[in-house]
Amino acid sequence: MLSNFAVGAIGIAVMVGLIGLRFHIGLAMALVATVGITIIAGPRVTYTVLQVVPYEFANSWEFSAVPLFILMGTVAYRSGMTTSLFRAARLWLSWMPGGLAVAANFGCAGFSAAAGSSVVTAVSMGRIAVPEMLRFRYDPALATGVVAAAGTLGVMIPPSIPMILYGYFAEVSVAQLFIAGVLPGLLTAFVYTGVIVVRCWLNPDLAPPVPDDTDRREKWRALGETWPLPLIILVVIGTIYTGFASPTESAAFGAVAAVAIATFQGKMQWAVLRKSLLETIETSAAIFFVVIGAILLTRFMAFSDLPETIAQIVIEYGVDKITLILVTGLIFLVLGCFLDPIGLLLLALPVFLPIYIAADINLIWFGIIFIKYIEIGLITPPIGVNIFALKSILPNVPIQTIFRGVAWFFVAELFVLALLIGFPSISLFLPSLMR
Amino acid sequence: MLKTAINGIQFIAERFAALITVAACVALVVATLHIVADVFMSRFFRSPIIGTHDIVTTYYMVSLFFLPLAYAESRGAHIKADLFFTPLPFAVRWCVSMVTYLSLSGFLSVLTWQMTLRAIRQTNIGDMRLIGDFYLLLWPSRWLAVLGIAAFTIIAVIRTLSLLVPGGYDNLERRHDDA
Amino acid sequence: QAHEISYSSHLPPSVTANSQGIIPFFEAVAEEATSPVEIKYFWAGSLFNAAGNFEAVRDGTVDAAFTQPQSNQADMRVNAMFADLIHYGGNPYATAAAYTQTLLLDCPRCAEDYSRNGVRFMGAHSATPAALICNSAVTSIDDLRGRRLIGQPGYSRWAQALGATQLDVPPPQQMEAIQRGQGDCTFAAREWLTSFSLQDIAHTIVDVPVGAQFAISLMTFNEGSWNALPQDIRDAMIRNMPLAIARVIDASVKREEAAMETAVSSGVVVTDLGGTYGTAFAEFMEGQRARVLGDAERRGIDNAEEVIDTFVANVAHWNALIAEHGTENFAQLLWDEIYSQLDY
Ligand code: NA
Ligand code: NA
Repeated sequence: MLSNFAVGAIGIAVMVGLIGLRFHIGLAMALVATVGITIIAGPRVTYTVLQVVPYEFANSWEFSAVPLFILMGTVAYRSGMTTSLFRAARLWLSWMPGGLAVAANFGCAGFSAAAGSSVVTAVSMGRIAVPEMLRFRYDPALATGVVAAAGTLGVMIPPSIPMILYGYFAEVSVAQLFIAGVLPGLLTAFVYTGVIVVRCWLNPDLAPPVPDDTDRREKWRALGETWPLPLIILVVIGTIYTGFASPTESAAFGAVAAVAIATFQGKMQWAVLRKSLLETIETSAAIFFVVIGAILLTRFMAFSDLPETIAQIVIEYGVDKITLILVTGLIFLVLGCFLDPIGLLLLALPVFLPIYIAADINLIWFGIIFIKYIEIGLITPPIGVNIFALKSILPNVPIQTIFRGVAWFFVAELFVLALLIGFPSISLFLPSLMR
Repeated sequence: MLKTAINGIQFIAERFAALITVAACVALVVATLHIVADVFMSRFFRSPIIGTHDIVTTYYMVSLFFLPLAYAESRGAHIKADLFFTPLPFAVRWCVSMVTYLSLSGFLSVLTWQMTLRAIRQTNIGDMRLIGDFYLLLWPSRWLAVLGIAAFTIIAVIRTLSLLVPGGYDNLERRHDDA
Repeated sequence: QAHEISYSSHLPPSVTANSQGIIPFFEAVAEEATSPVEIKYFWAGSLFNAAGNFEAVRDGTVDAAFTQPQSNQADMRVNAMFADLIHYGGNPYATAAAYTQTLLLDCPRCAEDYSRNGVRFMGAHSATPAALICNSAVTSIDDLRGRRLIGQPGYSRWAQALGATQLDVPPPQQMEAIQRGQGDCTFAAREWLTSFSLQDIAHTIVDVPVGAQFAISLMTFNEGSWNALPQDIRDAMIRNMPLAIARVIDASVKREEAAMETAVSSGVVVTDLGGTYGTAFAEFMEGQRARVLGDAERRGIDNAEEVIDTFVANVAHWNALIAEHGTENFAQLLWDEIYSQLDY
């Protein structure tokens, strides 16, 4: 008879194999979870879990923010607001080594302020920026790597769906988490810029220079066309911080603002609205299926003693706060290799949060570090959700190329992570102004 | 013969999936407007729309998450990864796809079955919630979820069958372009 | 081979009900029972949320869980009425005891909600009475007109009577909601001043009790799992239930006293609005019975008076008992009056 721990560990291994064989990620998780729970606890328990869990999650107010933020981002993308942002960034940054990649990087940062999810950010910017870079003969690994990596900013720069879920689990203020993510997000974008510039400066073949034939007036005009996105962000952040609306409600306001601005600009044709709605619905459904899988997997993990056993080991070895953060961080990085971000979040938080609370660790600060782990997990093999998402819109680029491209940014991420752990004020300075 | 039959069923099933997806789009729009209206009513007129949270989550969100699952599948939108897959020989890829769609159909059938049992039960007890003066029926929302999962199951079964038809594998591989 | 008992709660282990109730309870059971017992906890909704936990115990997915009838209103039609009776909650000792006695001994229809679902009610604690904690000056009852008052749905009609609106926000998010102006006041147990940081936003506390949440089940047990346990474990559980209830209430009351002391010393205004609030509430309560009965009818409950009368009589009974004996031996009182008479 296998121990529950062994069933849990084998289950994770099988799941990784199934995902590698191109099972739907949601299916791979759900299948392993269903079989695993049946082995550990019997079919009756599995049936209850299937009856209760997927419906219960669709039925939650916190998760309602997800489709609304996707709608806001999709309208912003479909009506050309994100394109104008990327265009301005491209025109202003073309003098720089790897200028288009830097532009894509900041385009992602800008888009992150509209989107609550990394996958949405990577996919949207991937559609705009990657073809541009390939057209100017940029190295495909660099072109895809930068978007896959900078797309992870979607969860660090507010709004952020994982932050909403973290706030829910850790019982901390989502508004404070949102504001805490701003500096770390910008810091990441600047470190990425450093990586791109240095790499392209050392090896110009990676990014051939782009002819700069636009005049100054054109550049200023391009900059002037970028206003809609900041305005939408103002609506979202503003309604939250003035207490006018909760995060879920602010998402609805953001969506309405995006539609209103696009209408004002004359870009809200019926076709745009129709495509935005269908795309939002399709993306929401795709995320939801993964979430069903992740939640079922979380229930499977709760039955197997895998997380408790790991937590036990951590408690035995981790004494002071920094050691605790580092040791658990290592676990999150390893788990992040295999789990999608929502899965990691749902799996790890119920187990580890009590330990952090016991150790009196600032949960806003840790929240930001945790979001960073999620960002890293999005680009690490074998399961890098952002990379899969990017791959899904770039059928001709081999997945290995994208993984190769993000390797440099992975190193940069570890550097930023060290800064965030070493200097808590990067995360806590802005929230401290709110009080 | 088999091919014509499968194509016919597929045509009908995909139309149906698209139809309930339109319902999901409507739910998304109505949810957005309902939430915004509630905030305005409660902020400016001090009279919130009673039951907004419950209606949004029980009806709009359940619709918009469950109903388009089938449509997303028929468009190949569910998230997948092909780490070791692409370099494999055709026969192996075919087999792996067969296993994938068989297990998808299997899992979804079990899920449909269980969610239907739950929906029947909640209908029989007349599942409801009383919020102050506001009486909200909950059980119909269970059937919305069943409808979405059942449609997803049917699409999965059709895709499994279509693998048996010559050229079916290539059709499956083709990711649909923008709507 | 140890008997494994699984317990699931949507609340984290840190809340009073768990840290002072459930965890020490199972420790004592494990120590006192001669058969070996092992407990597996599922905290903070890691398995199911509040509504799902009831279904999980019913299906035997877990052996025991924290449940609240409010989350499963159609399954718990009679018991859901007690959530409507929130204004009848007062002294937490008397309220908890009266509710527990009603369910375990005096109201077969209430118990049937549980037995029909193949589960049994083991006991309930009660929150301490709710005060109205506001973020700005409140000097008269008219100041509350037009305000947004946070509280459970049970408070919506009282808020309406005050000319205010009720708004449902989970306790952990209330401080922030009030800080950012989403709500102006909250109907909260005074213990929450510290446990949910309401201290940070409190300006005025209208300290007139208007009810307390008590319609919960600290432990709902699956019938099959219960019958499968050996007698010594069952004995230990029944013996320890009163102790757990007493410990949870004792801890809440103690926390409440400390929280009020801190609030007063930091300059929070504590007022009864010159008695006008209490008078208005008394007037409101005159019509409350009819409103609860009306809701009961919509829930499809016949002869609801009977249930309410039984509960109200038990509250009077326990208020008298506590007036006579105090609360030092509350667990013993619970044992003598309720648990010693159980046939299990
Ligand atoms: Na974002
Ligand atoms: Na990963």
